[in-house]
Amino acid sequence: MTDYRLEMKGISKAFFGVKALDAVDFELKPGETHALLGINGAGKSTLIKILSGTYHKDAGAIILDGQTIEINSPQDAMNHGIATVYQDPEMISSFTGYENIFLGFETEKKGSFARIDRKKLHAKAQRILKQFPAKVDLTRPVLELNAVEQEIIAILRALSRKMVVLVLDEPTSILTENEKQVLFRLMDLLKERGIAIIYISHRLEEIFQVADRLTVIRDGQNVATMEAKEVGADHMAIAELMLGEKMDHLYPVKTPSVGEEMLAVSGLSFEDRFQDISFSARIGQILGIFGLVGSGVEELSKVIFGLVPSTRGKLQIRGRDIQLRSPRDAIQNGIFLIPGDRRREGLIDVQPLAFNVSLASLRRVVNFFGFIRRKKEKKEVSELIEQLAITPADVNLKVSYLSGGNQQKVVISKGLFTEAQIYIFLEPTAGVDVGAKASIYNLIRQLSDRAAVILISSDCEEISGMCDHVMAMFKGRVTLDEAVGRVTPEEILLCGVKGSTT
Amino acid sequence: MRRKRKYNVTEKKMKIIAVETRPVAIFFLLLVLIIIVFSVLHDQFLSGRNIATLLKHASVAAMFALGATFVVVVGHFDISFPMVSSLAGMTTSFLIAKEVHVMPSIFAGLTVGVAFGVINGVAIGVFKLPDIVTTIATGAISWGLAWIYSGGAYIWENALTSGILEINDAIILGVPLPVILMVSLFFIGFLILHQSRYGRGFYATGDNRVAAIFSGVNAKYYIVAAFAFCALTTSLGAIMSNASQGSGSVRVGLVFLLPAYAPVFLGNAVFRKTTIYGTFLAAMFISTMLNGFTLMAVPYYYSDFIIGIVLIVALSLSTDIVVKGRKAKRSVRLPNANEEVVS
Repeated sequence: MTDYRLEMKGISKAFFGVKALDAVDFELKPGETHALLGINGAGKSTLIKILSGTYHKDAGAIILDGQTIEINSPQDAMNHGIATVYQDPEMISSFTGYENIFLGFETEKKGSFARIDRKKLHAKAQRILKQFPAKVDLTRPVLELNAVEQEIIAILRALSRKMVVLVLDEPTSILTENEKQVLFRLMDLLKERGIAIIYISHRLEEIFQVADRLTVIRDGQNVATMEAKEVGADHMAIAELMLGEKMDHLYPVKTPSVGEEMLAVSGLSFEDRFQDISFSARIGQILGIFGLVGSGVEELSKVIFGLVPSTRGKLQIRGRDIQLRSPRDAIQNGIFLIPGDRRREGLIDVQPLAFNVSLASLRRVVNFFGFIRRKKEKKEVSELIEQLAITPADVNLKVSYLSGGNQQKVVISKGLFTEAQIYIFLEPTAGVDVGAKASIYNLIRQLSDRAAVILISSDCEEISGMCDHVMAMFKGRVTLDEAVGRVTPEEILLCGVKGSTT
Repeated sequence: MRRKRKYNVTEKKMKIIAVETRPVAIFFLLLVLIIIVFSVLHDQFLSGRNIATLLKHASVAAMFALGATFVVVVGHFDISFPMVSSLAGMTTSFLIAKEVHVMPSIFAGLTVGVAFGVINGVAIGVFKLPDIVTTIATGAISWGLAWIYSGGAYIWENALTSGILEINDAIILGVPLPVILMVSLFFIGFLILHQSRYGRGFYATGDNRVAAIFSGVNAKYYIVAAFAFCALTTSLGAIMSNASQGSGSVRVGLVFLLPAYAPVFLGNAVFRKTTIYGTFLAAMFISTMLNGFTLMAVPYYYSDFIIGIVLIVALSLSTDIVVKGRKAKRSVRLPNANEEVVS
């Protein structure tokens, strides 16, 4: 017998020739909470998806309680007792708690019309629930339950079958402080029964509260596994491990020059998403805003682009107070947002390149009567896509035929076509390969010579590599506001994931 | 190496072009084929009189299809126009019966129809109500109103003397006036949808409303405009249909649900997107076929049966065309739920 509940040995996985995981070893002891850390794209979610049967590993072995097992589907993982609970557990929201717990296992009798004994199911669910200090009304439809109750039901669902390993993927991202404590107590009880927990979170302070050991994944490799006590509260060391060496060559040389102030934001607030945000964006300078999902950065970009009205605060363009009622307003005032969700927000992908690029500023290609001047449109769009090296360079090709990187360049072209003076980039390199990344970074830098650029990202390497001035947001508030030269990427990361460097 | 890559790109493009032009070629072959078959089977098929009858009959259905095209382009569905256009037709007939002049009567009928179109558009585009249920409701309201004028009876007073029959029967340079009207409306529709900047707005709204809004397109206005335009052309179609019958019928628009949508989706299947020219050609195709069957003395109640089969065959042929081993995405987009910009 080994000491480990679960061992993953030499796990490798590549997507389209790009290595996501490179011979990763990972061990899990019975009854421990093991935190898995890494920046976005490091490979931690790939590792979890291999364990839960969503992806197939290219190489390596998974050993559960000393026996090598094969996991080819989520069903296999469940049968081996490996349960995964995601941040937004999938349930049938109109069904009650106990119905969800036993969904698909309502009865042992065979046949389509076998009677479901609801009383028995409810009692069975109550028995499982009673073992824990949590109180959940199992007879209410889950849509009436709050986030932590839903998560508890997802965990009970896993418990009602065989469970030896529990994977919690960002379980606290939508929980309040009290709800978190409920979840943590439940985790302690599961540990006492020998269940091993893999805990994924971006929030370092939480990890030190719950984890016994932790593993850092970076660039598809296990760079460190250690006891949580060993690290103590030295968050800086962890941040350094997560980031590793910087890839300087990816980013263009910084040429900041402080030009005219284009956009000034003061005391901007939006509902409970962000409060009291102030900054100014100037020509010649790239302003970086670092923030994770839920930090309010996405909402901030939408308020500045006129998609939603701010609840408080002031927006000034070139010193002039302005009220934006729609993106149309924003575009007319020289603001353009390159949105984060390319497919949903950026592209009309069943339409050709030319259609997409000219859409936000059709006035440039129409005649007096509002008819499209196709030759002019073709010429001007062609010039732009040549400049951005979009391939294939065919204005009549539907955008859906392009690769991710080229699609992103089409969205950027659309922005450039409006000749805005203020550009906001939201996660501009998400889902883009390294080659296209470098050229998008160059483009952003060039653009900053004639426009104010705001770069919003959850990749702090990107922020520190690209920007001249950096802000970090955490839970809707600014936690860092500094020139880039005066902070390390580690400090930026810590301000964004736990609100301060200490 | 580099040369090879370039070759692949062109090859891929050729494949895409082949995939996109093949249905068009098949469509025209079929059109020619049915014309040949019917002209062989029936010697009157290609006579001047039959062609005039065919076109006149086709005009009304085509005008219904034109309106429906706009609603489908903005990604929605309108179930109300059969009833709304009936109300418009009854309004016009009622006013004519009350000895109001013919042009103001037609104008009033169109105004009532467009008002319902605007209500649909505002409910769906601005208040984001679900399109099918909303238009079932507004359709029911308008049909209820249509009955008030005469308790549901035909209105024929003054129809013969008002001049509306003359408008319907007028022939200009050998072409019936309803045909001229229909072709002009299609031409205007073509200019708006395929030549003007507003066409980009209609398509962007329907293909991806969220991305359209992010591009500064005022999606709400386009949805309102599409429903209003649909109400306008279908109301005119209903008024023309009443004129050709010589009386106002409370049921005039009801038979046009399928004849309106069939050309839209057949055109979509052929050209792989919803277009004015696709709708026009498909409407002509369907009318030609129905005319041929009528000449062959096939009972009229088979027409829905035939259109239904044509539509299903066209849809199934157009959705499984394979591009480079991967299934092409369905180009027919059913109306999707109103998506929120901020979640």
